[in-house]
Amino acid sequence: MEFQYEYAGKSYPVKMKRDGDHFTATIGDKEYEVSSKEIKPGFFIINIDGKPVKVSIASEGSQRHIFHAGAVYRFTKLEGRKRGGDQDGEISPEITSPISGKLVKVDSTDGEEVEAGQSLMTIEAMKMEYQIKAPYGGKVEKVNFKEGDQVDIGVVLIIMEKKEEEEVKEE
Amino acid sequence: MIKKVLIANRGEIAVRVINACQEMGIQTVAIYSDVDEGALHVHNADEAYPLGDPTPSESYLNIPKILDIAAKSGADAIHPGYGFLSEREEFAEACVKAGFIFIGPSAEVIHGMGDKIEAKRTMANAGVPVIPGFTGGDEDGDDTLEQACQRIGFPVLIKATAGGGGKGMKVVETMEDLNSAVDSARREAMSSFGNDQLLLEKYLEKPRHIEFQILADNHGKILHLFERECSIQRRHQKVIEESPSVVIDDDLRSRMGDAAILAAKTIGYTNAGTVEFMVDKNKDFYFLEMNTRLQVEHAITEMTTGIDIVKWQLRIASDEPLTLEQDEIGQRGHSIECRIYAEDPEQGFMPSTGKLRTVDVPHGINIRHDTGVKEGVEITPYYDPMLAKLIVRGEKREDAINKMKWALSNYITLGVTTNVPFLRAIIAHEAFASGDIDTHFIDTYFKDWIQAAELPLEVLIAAALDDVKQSGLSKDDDQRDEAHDAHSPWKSAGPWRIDS
Repeated sequence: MEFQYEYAGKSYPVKMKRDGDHFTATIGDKEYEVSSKEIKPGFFIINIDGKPVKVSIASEGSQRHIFHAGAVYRFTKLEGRKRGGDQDGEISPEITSPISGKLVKVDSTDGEEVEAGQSLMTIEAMKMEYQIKAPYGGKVEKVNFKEGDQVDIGVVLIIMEKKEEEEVKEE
Repeated sequence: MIKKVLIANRGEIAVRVINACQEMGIQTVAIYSDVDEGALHVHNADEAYPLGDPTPSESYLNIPKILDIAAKSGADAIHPGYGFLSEREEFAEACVKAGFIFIGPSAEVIHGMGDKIEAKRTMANAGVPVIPGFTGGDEDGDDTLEQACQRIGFPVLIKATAGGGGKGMKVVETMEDLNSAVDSARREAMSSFGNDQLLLEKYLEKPRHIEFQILADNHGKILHLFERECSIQRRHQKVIEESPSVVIDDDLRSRMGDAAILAAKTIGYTNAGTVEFMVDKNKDFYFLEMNTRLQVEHAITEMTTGIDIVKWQLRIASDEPLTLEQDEIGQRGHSIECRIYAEDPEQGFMPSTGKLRTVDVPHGINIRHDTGVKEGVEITPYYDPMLAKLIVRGEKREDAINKMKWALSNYITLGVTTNVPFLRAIIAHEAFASGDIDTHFIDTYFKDWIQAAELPLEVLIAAALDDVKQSGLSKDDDQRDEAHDAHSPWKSAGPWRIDS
């Protein structure tokens, strides 16, 4: 059984094979003898080649939150079959709202050419302002909201086409 | 003595006040908006009443609704906590008019200190040192903001006259940036405080934010409970506080304490309050503002002085005299507080929302955890994203740092992104250890901080082991990935699973 995870733009494949009450995990060209024991719901002791490690796990759909050694790692489990070709390299044209709040300023218009890092709009949430900046240089196709609109987390604020001359990596 | 207190707040501070009341045999009344029905303060209070619509203006800022509940519940006093209505003079006034004791200073004092321009002017006249700046008042003549900037010299700090908590504050480095910063500050100020008046001041070099806790009774006695260093800030909001401050010696401590008491005396302050100062690299100190309420970080003062500030608020409001003496109050050991925020330090400290799935907090000697949330609650975008305060005390600063490092390393929250790993990185930083800190600390050392570029092997294996087990529960072979999302058995228990 093979799993693939994505963290900070990198993908991590792991091959798992059952071996009695243990598993053999293959990562790259290395093999590890691994097992896990649940202490209480969500809390585990993982054994890696005889070395015990404490972790806590919460998952939703493809999202994984794992606590280990004082840090929480948030990452994604990639589905076995990739949808619509290359997931790793493709850049979404949709700029979504990272927060729910009120749109207090719109700095971009349909058809406008923008530089990477340029402010596109400002959202106010919890009495603080958050700037939405262009993640890459390109052309604004459509601005979906106007000043004064209430926006929810995850809605598509702007559709933006990436400038062509920069090569998209891993394609 | 007060018999029944309505707590006009939510979160950890409502819980803190409820606990103090209950210890003193005072009845407690909680209020809650629709999204807070399952919150800890609702559960802990003796009675709780709904406010309905979670929008702040319809709930925790709705004065008529709150006073109505106070009357209905038979409360005789109202504690405003911090934030929300705590520094609104009209609320203090309305409470008194409706026949309730407002646990805090008078409406007049709140008014005097709420206007930052007036507050500075009052303090300068009383002989408390203030930062050079521009207020738009008579003493500035006909200067415009631009002319004032040229006179004071860049960088300058723009602040909302009615501000607080970093809202409406901007640093401006050059004349070109002035206009857009002013516009943005005015908008934030207007939406937060209903008043877009701004003030400018000189941005100090290596500035530290150091404040003094004050207690003043209704009989003219004023004490200070020493300093808190609150220089570690992001977006002009405090993140880590400690007491005592490494930069303050006995002489400076006594001069600043005197200045704080003078400030409180000048305005006829009563109840608990905080006089905030900036201390620059020459150890000159300047009055910044006065917070006419209980502060988030009051706990570190309680840890080092052993004095319960909230209980004294209740006694003072009941007209009891302060029985403490200044020369009997001392600082023992060193205390540090970390504010646990639901936010993502890797995304510009953007507040995060979601359901808290796992909360497992460290316990031990001299570890205090003040929180208003519990496992299973939904963190909504309606209110301030602070989830909890983790407070430790050690014999020496180094002990306190080591204890905080340990406590943060064992502080587990899953489901909602928090700043815990970021706090741990700060506490572990050598500049923090050496005490070389100022209000630019986070920008200086943690500008583009990320937790880790790589996924550790242990985490990767843990994920794979969990997924292997999950696959065994649903389908019988490797094909289960496809059906996983739609048919998973934990769907019925809510979107997240924490077991396997």
